[in-house]
Amino acid sequence: MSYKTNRIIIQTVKYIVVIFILIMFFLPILSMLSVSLKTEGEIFKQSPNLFPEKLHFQNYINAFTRINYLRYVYNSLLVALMYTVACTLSSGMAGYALARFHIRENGIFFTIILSSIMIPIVITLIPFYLLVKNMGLTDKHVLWLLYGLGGAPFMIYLYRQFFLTIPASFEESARIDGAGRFRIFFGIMLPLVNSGTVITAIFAFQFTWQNYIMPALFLSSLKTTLAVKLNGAYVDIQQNILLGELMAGIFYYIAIPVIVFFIFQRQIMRGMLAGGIKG
Amino acid sequence: MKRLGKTGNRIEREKRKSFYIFIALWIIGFAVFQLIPILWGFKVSLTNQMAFSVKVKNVGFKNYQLALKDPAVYYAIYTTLLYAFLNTAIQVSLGLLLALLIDQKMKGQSFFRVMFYLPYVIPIVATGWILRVFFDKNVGTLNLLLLNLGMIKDGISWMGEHGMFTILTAGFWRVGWSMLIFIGGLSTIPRDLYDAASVDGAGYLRRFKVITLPFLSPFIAFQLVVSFIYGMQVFILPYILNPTAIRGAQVTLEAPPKETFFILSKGYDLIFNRGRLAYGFAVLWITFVIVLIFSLIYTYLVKKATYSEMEN
Repeated sequence: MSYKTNRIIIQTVKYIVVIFILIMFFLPILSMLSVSLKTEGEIFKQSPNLFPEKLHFQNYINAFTRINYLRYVYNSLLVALMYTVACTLSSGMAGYALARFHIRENGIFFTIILSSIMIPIVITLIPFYLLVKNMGLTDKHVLWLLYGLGGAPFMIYLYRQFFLTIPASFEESARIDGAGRFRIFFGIMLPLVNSGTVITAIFAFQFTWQNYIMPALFLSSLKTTLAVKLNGAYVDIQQNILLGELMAGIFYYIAIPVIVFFIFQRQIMRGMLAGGIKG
Repeated sequence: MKRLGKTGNRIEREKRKSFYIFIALWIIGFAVFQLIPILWGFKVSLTNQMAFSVKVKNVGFKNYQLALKDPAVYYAIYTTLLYAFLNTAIQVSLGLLLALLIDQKMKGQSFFRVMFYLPYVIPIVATGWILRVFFDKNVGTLNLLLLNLGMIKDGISWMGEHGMFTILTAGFWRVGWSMLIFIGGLSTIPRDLYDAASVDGAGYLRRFKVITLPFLSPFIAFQLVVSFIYGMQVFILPYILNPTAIRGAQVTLEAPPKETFFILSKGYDLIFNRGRLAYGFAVLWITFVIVLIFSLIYTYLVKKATYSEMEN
């Protein structure tokens, strides 16, 4: 067998394997779409069909009206944006400190920040909740802004990596001109790591959008986010779940981060592959 | 150690000041949101406090003694560790496989990359619901598919009998992140190394062993550590994927079945569903210590393994 036919065979096998895995990956999504387009009777009948008999879009309307969907979209977006802005700012500053100012304690702080991913969020959040409950701070969206100001270890790490790629000479001339440290940071350094900011902001957004435990603990039924609300929202009078509507509701819920991902897809892929992560 | 007076020249002082100004927000956040709550939790765990108790007194380490005698706690620790190890194995092996398959030479490379990453973008709560509908015994698409293909005769109760498997499927589905890190790792390998090796007559496996693996080993180590640490912290997924009847009344934060009742859920359940505050905090503290110890040992072992591998 010649080298060329050999290569063609390998390539074909490769494609078959990749496409097979891809189909496996998309089965659950097809399942979601299929169920969302069935009537409730069709879903629960004796031996259900794989596909809906007739496309039934009523679920997509009901998903919107059974609960005030837009209210929860608003709540989710509000806390997500608050957290994203605060967390990106704080992580950027901490990452800058770690990358630029090599004082003796620098390494210790870096180690502590990296190690803090070993502390499960549930373990700190439950006592924190019981503490702030006494201060009457629950049920306030602004909590996400405060929480974000603490930064997140992974994002601090990402920012540090990005700041390390920028030569020190960039800011030295500004310093000689007498610019203050905040002028240098916000005016010169932060714009230089724009791709890092995009990635960090998207991760922060996704984190809040999918976070369950924080809204479950801190927010009441009308103020909560979609991640919590969806779980009990689509039920009939006897408290049975309406699967079709639930899947339609989930479809909207997924759509927002997926759209965000597709808009920034290039930046995410490029930024992640440009060596943002190193072992 | 140098004395402060000696290092305290102007530039050094200025640097230190800047460092602390920029990292101040993190320090405050760490103290307020992590350090203080966790220490307060420890304080409560030494008392006999219940959710509505009036008289609270210190009982020392009695709650810890109680927890360490509870077989349910041990079982939860066991399942959590099992899940963390299995999930790590999936993340690393499948992520690596996909990264190797979708290499630079492949046509449609960026399309596949985006498509495999996509499930990772889907929020975890939605993942739980989608998979729950997918795996359901009576109405689930997987069973319908297998029935239509004639591969099974009766619906399989995936979530009831294979709870751990269904939870791991979510990890399988969300492998895109891991794949991306390995693709990033592969892109650090200079192409001409492969060409040189081919000229020398090295086959695919040999090239993989001598070139690819050494270059990837820091990325593999990173992924082994991070997947394990996050695997230990699994919390919400089993609640949504739990196998109670899909048509019954839905209270999401009921206890999931034993097989996927992971240790963090155990602490949560004790505090919020049973009102056993002090005991729950003791369990959470034990969890904290266990996660920390296992993560540290594990990180150390991974580091040691990869470095010795590099030396050979």
